[in-house]
Amino acid sequence: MNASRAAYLLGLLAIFAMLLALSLALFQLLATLRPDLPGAFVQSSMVVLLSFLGLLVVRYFALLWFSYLAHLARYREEYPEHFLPLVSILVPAYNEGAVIQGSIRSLLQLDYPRYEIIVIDDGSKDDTYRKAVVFEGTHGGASVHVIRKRNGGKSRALNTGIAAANGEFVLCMDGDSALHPLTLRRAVRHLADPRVAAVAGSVKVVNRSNLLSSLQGLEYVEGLNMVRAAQGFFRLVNIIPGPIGVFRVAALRGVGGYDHDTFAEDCDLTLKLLAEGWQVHYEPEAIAYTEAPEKLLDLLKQRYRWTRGILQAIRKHRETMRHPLRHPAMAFTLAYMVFEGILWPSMNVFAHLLFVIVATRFGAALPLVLWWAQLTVLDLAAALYCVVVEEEELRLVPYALLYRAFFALTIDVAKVFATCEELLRLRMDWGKLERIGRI
Amino acid sequence: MDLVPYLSAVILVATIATILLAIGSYAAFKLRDKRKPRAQQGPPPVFFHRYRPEEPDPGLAAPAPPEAR
Repeated sequence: MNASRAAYLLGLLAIFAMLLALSLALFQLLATLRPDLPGAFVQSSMVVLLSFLGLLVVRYFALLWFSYLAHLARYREEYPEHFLPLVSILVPAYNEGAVIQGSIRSLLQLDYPRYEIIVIDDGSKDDTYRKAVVFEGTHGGASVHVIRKRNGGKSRALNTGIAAANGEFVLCMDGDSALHPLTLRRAVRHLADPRVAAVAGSVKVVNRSNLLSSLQGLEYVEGLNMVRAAQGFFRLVNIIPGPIGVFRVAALRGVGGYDHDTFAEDCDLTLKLLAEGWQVHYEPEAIAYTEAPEKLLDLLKQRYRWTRGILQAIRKHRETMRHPLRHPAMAFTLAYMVFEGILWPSMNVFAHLLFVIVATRFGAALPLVLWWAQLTVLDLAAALYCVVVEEEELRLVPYALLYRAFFALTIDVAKVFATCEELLRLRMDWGKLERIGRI
Repeated sequence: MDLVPYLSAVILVATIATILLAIGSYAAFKLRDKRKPRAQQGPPPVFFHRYRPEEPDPGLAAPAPPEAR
């Protein structure tokens, strides 16, 4: 049996695990509808939460199924072999002195015949410019240019880079990321289709040195890449990740480039492209490696900005939801984002609080155990499938046991607080993360 | 041996601890965020300070007018 066939088999096994999870959900449905739990509020809450859990089972099942279909479709897809246009790689950098050289070095090792690297130093206060400028010049098929500008944020830096780019396509990334050598070659081939505006790549955590960063390693594989793969099946990826996205310059110019009125400029730009009717693909072999926060407070800072930024982007494009028939794909995308960004975290926190009260006051801990078991089984199935398909480290799978009980709940509490702050329109600023320099 | 009561206890304790940790760490994050601008301000730039000599520096004293010849 060859490796790809074995991967299919394991993928199928993961889907069977999903079916098991479904049966566990039914079991939970029967087990938790206990008539002896007092109070109409508790009973009705249980029914709501069980319905929501059923929705989550469908969500996991659908994502796994469509990402599996996308995986199969990759082998049938035919791309033009000689489509290798000039690509401009834009590297916005603000105080990335610790990682910028590693990032540029990884770019110089790309397996691609013609590309230019444009580093945009966004008014860094550290030695980013000095460290980047030593690479300026031609290195084989690649040329490096460094632009220095007054600090204005990532979106303005990327717009500066787009204006300076000579290529018909640009690869936008973060200054703290590194790319796999095949990234450009794998991503650009999608853009031979003139209907495609952009290709989202796969982001992987490079520092899996402690519990928190290992859990994020699993989260990126299972929580983010699996969702993108499923969305990619419909050509409707809703967030092109900051560390890796390849764009058609004409499409970017058509929507006015990056806006700077949200804290999730990548999400906002993707939504603008989808609203214009462009396709956005996902390429799992276009890989960017990024540093994940290793401390809890840094992680909360990052997720706070993501949550509020995504909510700002949803609010900005909410008009589309009022006319779902005019833009059905866009309306579905936004509805999905509301589900993932607001509804699920809120329900998860509510469920845990309710179950803790029920367990401590009425001695019924079973609902809490079953809620955890159900979601953990789903996570394990998804983790197993994603690790196999992405040829990731198998050691990430057992982290799924801790993922739901500790990691997801902590993040969801922060998301709920961030959502409240966003609804109250409290002031926020960019939370620049401290870089360790593992790239 | 019935494992469910033990599992229930472990998950209940873990959940309560995680909720408390999550709320506490969020509060800590906000506190750190609020403190940060003050820490970044640092001492004000010296060129905005008005120079007020307390005592005349003998080294910088104006030279005596040349004696009349």
